[in-house]
Amino acid sequence: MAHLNKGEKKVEYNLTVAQHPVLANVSILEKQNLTISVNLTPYDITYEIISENLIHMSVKSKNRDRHVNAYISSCPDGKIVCIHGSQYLVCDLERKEKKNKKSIDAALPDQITPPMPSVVVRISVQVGDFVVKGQSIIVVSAMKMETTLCAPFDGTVVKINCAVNDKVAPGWILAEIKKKGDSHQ
Amino acid sequence: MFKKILIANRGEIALRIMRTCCEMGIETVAVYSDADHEALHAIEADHAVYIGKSDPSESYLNMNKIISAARESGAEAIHPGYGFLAENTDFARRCLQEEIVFIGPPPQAIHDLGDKTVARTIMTRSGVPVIPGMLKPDPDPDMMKREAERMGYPVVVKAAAGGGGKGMRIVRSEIEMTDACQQAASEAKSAFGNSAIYLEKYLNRPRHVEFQILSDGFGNVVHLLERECSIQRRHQKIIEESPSTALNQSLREEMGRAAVEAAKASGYVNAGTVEFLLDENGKFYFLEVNTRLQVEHPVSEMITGMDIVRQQIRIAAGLPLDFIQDDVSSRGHAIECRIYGEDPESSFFPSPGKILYHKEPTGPGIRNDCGVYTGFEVPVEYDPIISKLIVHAQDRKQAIARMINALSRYVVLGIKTTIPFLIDVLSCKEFKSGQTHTDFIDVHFKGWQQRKEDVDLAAIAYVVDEIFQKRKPRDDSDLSSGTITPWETLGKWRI
Repeated sequence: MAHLNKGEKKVEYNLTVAQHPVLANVSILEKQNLTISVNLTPYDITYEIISENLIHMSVKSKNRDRHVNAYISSCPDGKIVCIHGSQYLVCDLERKEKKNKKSIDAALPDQITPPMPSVVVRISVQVGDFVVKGQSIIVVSAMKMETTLCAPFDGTVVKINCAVNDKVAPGWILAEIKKKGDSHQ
Repeated sequence: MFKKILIANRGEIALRIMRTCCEMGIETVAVYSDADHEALHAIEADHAVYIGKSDPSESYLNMNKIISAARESGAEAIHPGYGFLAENTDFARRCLQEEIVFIGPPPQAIHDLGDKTVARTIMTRSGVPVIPGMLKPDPDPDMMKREAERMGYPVVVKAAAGGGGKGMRIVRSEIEMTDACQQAASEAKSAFGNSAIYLEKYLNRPRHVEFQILSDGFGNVVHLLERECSIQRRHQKIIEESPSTALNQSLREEMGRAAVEAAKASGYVNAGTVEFLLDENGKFYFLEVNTRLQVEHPVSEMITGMDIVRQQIRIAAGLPLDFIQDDVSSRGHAIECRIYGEDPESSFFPSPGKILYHKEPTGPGIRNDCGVYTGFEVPVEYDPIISKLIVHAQDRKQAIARMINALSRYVVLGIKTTIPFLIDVLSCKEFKSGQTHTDFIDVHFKGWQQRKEDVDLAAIAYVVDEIFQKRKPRDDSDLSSGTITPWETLGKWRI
């Protein structure tokens, strides 16, 4: 999280904004006034908290002086900020690391899990089938759109953990595949 | 006139229909599924009937449940909205048998126009120009190859029962034909329960221009001018406007006459839409008739000042149109943007979830037909439309500026939406100059990524929010450290 050097009222944030790394160095000057250097670009900020979801900011930089309305809400991964119609997911990297350690095997890329809450419409394989990388394993549907979950590698289907019409969510392993040539697992 | 109408739909369109009913002094009955217990349409209607599980087949597509909800509540008519049962011949027929008025065309018209080859035959007979191609479906790829040879590649394999781009394949040479036919037929079978396919000539870079029609069943058929709907993703419209930049007055009149002719030829009654493709030389071809209230109907309402739902209800109640073609005039320019709960950065993949914050834009000439609110959970089971943002202004340039401004002030937090994508489309010079074709998004916006110009501001807002949250006397966000502070142990107190 933030490093607070005692007495100085300086805070450092290691963020990602829409997946861009952003290092923000903050000096709190007085109650609603602070300076922030964002990836070394300095800004002078005064702000008003209008509501839980709206921050009104006056943002001064070297050659610009802007009034900005930022809409903001917390979400499981961090905060979502909406400015001028564009949305940015802002994550604190250090907090994210802590979270990841807690659930390290939540979503390994090699597993067959839906990208979003959805409903299983088809199961294209059976336990014992040999499948090749890219082969369709399970088709899920969300909001009238079908998505095919494919085999991440060549191997044998050892377990199917869902049935047609089941409601499933990201992180759930819908089918398990034993990698070809892999005697463990 | 009816005293009570049941609306067999959900979301923004159910609310849209309710507004008109309310203005006409007609009571409304909503139906809702498990997923929609707290949906806006169920909350706002005069009455709401629970009809079953979230899966559409158990609720919004279940005819028995809809009919018994109408019976129970004493509704004399059913408005189907769009999608679900709106273009279902059996449902329209069932309503007829049950002596409940179906607010839409007669079953025979839905049936005939729902089969594209039948519709093409009807239009050909009445002299409405159709895209060169087959008038009967055929399952044989060799027959298809001979037909394609005759009309010349490229061609399109289409599902006879099709719509929404499903069961459709472009074929550029003979070797692709067999596979394309198989894929299109199987897709058509699973989407429409009918695998019949046929061939049409593929038109290069056409525009999609459609005419809104109204027919009262007494022989009066009028059109409410055109809508240009060329901006599409996955063959589904995302931006619509009127007037079209591609029509001059004489072409507009000619196409309007063809649309009226198409309605008459098919025995059409109530509101409908005749869709045309317009080629590079200004030649137009009949595409299909949508036998329902269209998603994009507000565009026509804005420029003509007419309430299409009111007209639908009047026609269904047996009243003749109270105006003629010459009374229909167009004022200014209207644009509609569809706000979908989709991620435009990853091929418009659906993005359901809870709406953490929702703020609609307002101002002169801005209309938002919306079905959600802050705290609403957008269900996975249904179409991901959040709302339709419509603007009306004096001319196209002002309408574009008004729309960009309205989109920039539209805040939806918690799910991804098409808003930033729509802003970029409206801001690009090709859209501004009116060069809109059905391949527009593929040509100009493939692999689109949101602009990152406000990254610094987003980081600043995050930091400000963090600092503020820490200062707050009571911190109920996920930031709380878990240790109990005096604020939590103090109990109730006042300053």
